[in-house]
Order: sequence, then C-alpha cells, then structure tokens
Amino acid sequence: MTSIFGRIAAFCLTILLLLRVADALPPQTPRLSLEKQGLDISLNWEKDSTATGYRLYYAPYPGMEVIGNLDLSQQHTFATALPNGAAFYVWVSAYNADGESRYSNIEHFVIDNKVVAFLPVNTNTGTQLQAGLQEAFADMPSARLEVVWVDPNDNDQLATLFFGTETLRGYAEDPDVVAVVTATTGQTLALTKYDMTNPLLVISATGTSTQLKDIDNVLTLAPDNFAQAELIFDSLNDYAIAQQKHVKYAVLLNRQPGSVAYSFDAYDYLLLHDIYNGIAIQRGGGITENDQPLLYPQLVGSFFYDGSTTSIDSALATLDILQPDAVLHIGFGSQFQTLVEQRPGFLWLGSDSSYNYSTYQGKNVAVVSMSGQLKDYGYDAGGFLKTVMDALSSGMLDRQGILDATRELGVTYAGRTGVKGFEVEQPGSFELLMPGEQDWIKIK
Amino acid sequence: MSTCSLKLRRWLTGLCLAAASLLPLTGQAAQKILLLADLNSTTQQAAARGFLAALGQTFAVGQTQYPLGGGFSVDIETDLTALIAHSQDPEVLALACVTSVVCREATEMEAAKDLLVITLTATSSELGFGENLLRMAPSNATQANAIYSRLKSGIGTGRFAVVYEPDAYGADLYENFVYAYLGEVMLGNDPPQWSLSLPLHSRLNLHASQKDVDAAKVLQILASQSLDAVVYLGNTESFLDLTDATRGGSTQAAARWYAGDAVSGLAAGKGFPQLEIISLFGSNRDEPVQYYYGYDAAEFLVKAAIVYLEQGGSERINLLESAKTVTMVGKTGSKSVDSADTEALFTVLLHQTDGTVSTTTISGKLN
Repeated sequence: MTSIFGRIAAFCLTILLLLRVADALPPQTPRLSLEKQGLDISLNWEKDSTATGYRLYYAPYPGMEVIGNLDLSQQHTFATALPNGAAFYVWVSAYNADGESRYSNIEHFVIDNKVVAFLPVNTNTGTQLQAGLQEAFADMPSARLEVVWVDPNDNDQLATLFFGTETLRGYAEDPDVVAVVTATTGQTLALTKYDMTNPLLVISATGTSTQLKDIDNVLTLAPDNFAQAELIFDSLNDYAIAQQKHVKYAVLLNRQPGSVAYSFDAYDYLLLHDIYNGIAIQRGGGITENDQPLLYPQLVGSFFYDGSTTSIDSALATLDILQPDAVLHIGFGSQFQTLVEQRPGFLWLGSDSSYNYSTYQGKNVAVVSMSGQLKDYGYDAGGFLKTVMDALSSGMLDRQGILDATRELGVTYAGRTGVKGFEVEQPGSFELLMPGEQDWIKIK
Repeated sequence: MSTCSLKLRRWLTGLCLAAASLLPLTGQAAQKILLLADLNSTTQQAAARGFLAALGQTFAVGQTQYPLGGGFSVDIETDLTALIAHSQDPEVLALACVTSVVCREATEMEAAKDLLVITLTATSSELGFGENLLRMAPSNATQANAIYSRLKSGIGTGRFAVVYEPDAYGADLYENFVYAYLGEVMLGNDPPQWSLSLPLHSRLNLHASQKDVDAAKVLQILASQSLDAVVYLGNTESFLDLTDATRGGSTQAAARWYAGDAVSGLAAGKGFPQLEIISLFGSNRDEPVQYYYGYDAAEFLVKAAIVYLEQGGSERINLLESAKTVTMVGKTGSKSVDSADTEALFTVLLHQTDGTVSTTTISGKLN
C-alpha cells in the first residue's frame, strides 16, 4: 500500500507533467473575420495570450497558385487598401516558442468595383456610348466597366435584369456594382422604378426627359427637353418668318415603351412653348403694329404611333389629309428614317436622337442633336465617375460613397460636352442640323 | 337701424358701421369691389349674379354699379382692357375676375401685388395659388386628372383621340391632360392608347380674319380611326360645331365622349352614344355652376372684410392679409387662399343615349 506521502508525490508529479505538456503546445487556432469596404480590406481575429505572434497567409483567388505570408508579429488585425481587381484567399495562424497553431478558417475576397452600362443593342447610340466609356475607363484604377446590351424597347426586361427575381440575382443586389450608366430616359426610369435599400448612382448619358431631374439618385449628362422644345419652337418660328406665312406643323410621336416617357415629356414642353406664344399673340390681337397678321407656327395635329406598320400608315394617312408645312417627329431615329422614306415630300424635323448623315443627304430634313459627339457623352460619364472616385478615400469607394459624393459634395466635372454635376441646370445644349454636301450643317 | 344694414342682408351691419368710421381715416369717398367681366356669355352673367346675390344685390343687365352702403360698392367693369387703370386705383379694395386670361393679367401686375384678386371660375393652372390670389375654382391640372381618370375607367386600354380648342383655356387644359398621361407613363402603368389629337381650329382664337374653323376635317380624321373614345377640351359653341348634326357635326366617331367643364347647357337628345362632362363641382343644381362660384367668392370676401374691419384695416393690403386668415366651406367646396378645394372635386354629368342625365362625383386630386 502506498503511503500518503507517496500519493502526494505522485499527484504533484502528474501536475508538473501536465503543466510541462501545456507549455509545449502552440497557441489555439485563431478565428478569422474579413470585412471589405470600397477598396479597403480589414482582417480581425481574437488575441491569444499564449501567442507571441501571428502570421497572415495569402494566395491568389481562385487559383491559389502561390502562397505568400506576412509575419505580423503581435498584431491581431490587418487592414490595407488594394487596387481594384485584387482577389485573394487569406488565413492566419498564431505562433509561440513551441510552434505554430493550426490554420484559421480560410476566407477569400474579390475587389471588383464595377460600373455597369446598360446600352441599347444594335443602335448607333449604344455603340458610340460604349466607345466613349471604354476610352474613359482605360484610365480608371478604381472600377471597371461592364457593358450589358439591352433591347431599347423592352424596359420591363431591363427592370427584371436589374432588380432580379426570386430565382435570379439582379445587378441591384450585387454590392460590387457601384454605379450604372444608361442611355435613354426609358432605361433610366426602368432602373429607378422601385426603391432600393442601398441605392446607387444612375448616370443618364443621353436621356433628356425633365422628369429625370426629380429622381434623387440620377445624374443627367444631357440637356433637357425644355431646352430642346425651345429650340424646336424657335426654329419653327424662324421658318414662319422666313416663309412669310403661318407655318402649320404636325407632331408624330412614338409611343413605343422605350420611347414614350421621353416623347411625351418633349411634347409637353413643346406645347408649353406653343401655348405661351399663343397667349402672347392673343394679348396683342394677333396683329403687328402695322396692322398686319402676326406670323407664327401653329400646331395642327399630333399623332401617336406604336411602331407597328398599321399605326404608322394610319398616322401618315392623317398627315395626308392635313397637309402640314412641317412634321416634327419625336422618337427614335430609326423610325424617323422609315417615315421620311414613306413621305419624302414633307419637310421633316427630327427630335434629338441618333441620325446617320448619309441617310438624309439631299432630303427635306432637319434634326435636333445634342451638341458635341455622342461618344463624348459616354466619355463624360466615365470622366465624371473618375472625378468622384478621385475625391474619395479608398474605403469610401462603394455605391454609397459615390452617390453621396455626387449629391452632397456637389462634385462637378468639366467634360467634353459641358460641365456635369448634380446641381448643374443644363449640362449641355442642343443644335439644329441639316444635311449638307459633306456633313451635317448647324443652322441654329 | 341705418339704411345700410336694412339693404344688405349679407353685407354685415358691422361692416357698414366700421366702414363708415373708416372713411375719414382713409380720406376716401368710396371703396370699391371691382368685378371684371364682359358679361357676354350666360356663364359670365351667372357668375355676376351669384357674386351679387351673396351681397344681397340683384344683378340687372346694363347696371354696372351696386352701392352696398357705408361707402362701399360693387362696380362691374365690362371693358377688360381697363384692368391696369383699375388696379392702380386706391379706391379699389379687391378685384374679382372670371376668365383665365384676365385673371392671369391681374395677378401678374407687379404694381398691384397688394390687391386681393379673386378668380371666380378661371381654371388655368398658370394662375397658381398664394401671393394675392384667391381662386375659387380648381385648376386645370386637377380637372385634367379627373378627365383622364374617367377616360381610363371607361375604356381601359382602348384607343382614344383628343380634340381641343387652342385658346388660353383649351390649350392649357390640353397641356395638363398630356401631363396627366405622362404621369401614367412614368409610373409604368398601361394607359389607354392615345391615337391622335387635333385642335378644332387651326388658328388661335384671334380676330375673325384669322379664324379657321374646320370641324369637317377634324371629323374626317376622327372617322378614319377606330376609336373607343373622343375627349373634347374646349367651349360649348365649338363642341356643337363638332357634334351637332344641324351644324354638320357628328357624334358617331366614337362610342364614348368626354368633355371638360366649359361644355354646358347641352340640350338632351344630341345623339351621343355616351357623353361624360367633367364639370365644376355642383353642376347639377338649379343655377349654372358659375353662379355658385360667384356666390362663394363674395361670401369669402365678406368674411375677409369682417377680419379686416375687426383689425382696424385701412389699406387694401390689410384686406389681402385678412383674406389669408379665412377658411370657408362654401357651396362649391372648401376655400382658402392656399386652395380652391383640397379635395378637387368635380361633378360628372353622364348623358345617356335616351337623353337622361345622371351625376357622379370624382376627385382630381393630384398625388
């Protein structure tokens, strides 16, 4: 039988052995957490009292071809700003004199700030805007450009693509999408039709509807329909004076889904100019100081077509009855070409759209166009974003930071097509063009 | 009791007495409420009748001055070009006008910003609210909204056309209708299919040499379309040019017709398959609706005048300030300087094929 002293000795020996074994163990396995904010990455793990240091491991994502590591000494956090496009696996370990702990959980991140441009497929507008955007994004360290081609007449499809469905994740839900660029008014409206919990900046490169200015996450780069209507009405007025007669004009308006919001907005402003002019004339009794009738443009009819052959034929048949001196078309340039070809005898005026000069050479046509090259509106979209991003710290380079900087810091950008900014009243201008022998000629 | 209080049932005794004591202070012999109306139409006369009735007076053709006692009077000015002269006359305490064109000119005069201007039935959306304007009738913006609502509930996504009169009233109402339609488009809703719109006259409503009524051409174009409805935005006379068979018009272009508030007094049996007239609220009563808007205007004026006198007002700016404190529920809805009618109510007159007319109410409230 072991004496009491023997049992005490054995117990003490056991304790000592246990302590000895404990001293020999490396630290516990750390638990890593990762946060991404803009271009900033921050890593955190709990401090271990038995650790004398920590090691951060990293490897390219997704290939993990090369593994590197950094000795962080006693740091138990790590934060850094990385260039856009950086993608890594990361994990950490703790160490002490007895060795290194097991690896923590492995996390990965991809810094992929992207600006998505929804551009109308198979259109000159889409192609030109893409070219401008690509030029601007060639020198854009903080975000990349992703172009998505969409049907300009199917904004419902665009809304689904953007907001997603129960089974499909939309662009709106992707936090890496820091801003979007659109071409038309209809597209912009489609992307802003629902409230978002984390809204992003929508840059409307060529949308001219005045309604866009009331949407608080939309920046318009183009002059608006108020300015366009003023130019159109003044041009018709000039024509009446030049012709020394009342100019009867008709409006042919495209109410296809992709065009209708733009078209009615432009039409509404044209009416306002027409009405104010009419009231002013009525006040004066419609005569000059020399008792001669005042000459002015008169709207004699407005026709709304949906793009179908039937609706176009119907509208043209009514124009044949009215025989106006001029016809203003409000809608897409592609439809305008069809109409001009069917009634080459009319004097046609096309509202702002994309027109190919050679198509109209020698024809009885004048068109409204935004000043400058279409491509440059794409470039200015990118230029504006670069200006905003340059003004932000790396951790602010996300959709919230970009939207706040645009709206609240009042960032402006002197672009190729005019000064752009949230508070800028008219970020461009319109001009009236007619086809000359070599190119469009500006006539107003 | 003075002859003043006996004569004026509506113009309160206190007003007369206080006014009498006021005159020496102002050094003025008389103070006028000026009603600017050419009285050329039954609707203008109805407005004048209602305005005077609320002040205990009886309208008489040819009579232009109605003494109220206590040095006050209502003067009717039929020469609408005399507006500027009257607005600068310190004896004019308040000015009431009927049509949009005249009312707009009155409120635009910078020199008369201290003058209370009351619009009786003018609906132009350009008139706005506030400053020195008290409007009795809802704006064309709310009316256009109401018309569009009736149209949509009537034809769903069917096809329609608009015919409008290109004058200050019709063009303004038309523009507001376009805006109401644009609002629907912006919301992404599926609106009725708009086929075309035509001014009934190809000239503005200028002097006779420049008028060019061409209802036949408009009808020819309407007939070439397959329409579910025609919306008409203009006055009664022109509407009859378009639809009265005895004038060469026709009602057969569409199964449904909709018209704005300036169409009134149509005889039964004009052959409309179905006609809805979106009228100013109260259009189904004994007197023309303009009577009630005129009545409310004068009643409001009395309430403002009581405040004016209670507070010792001596200049017309005081009457304007007093008017801003008054809110009243009249025969045509609630009235204040900020709002003609917060609910923007309209009476819809439903003319049936058999000549009967029923009514319903609709709000044109803007969202």
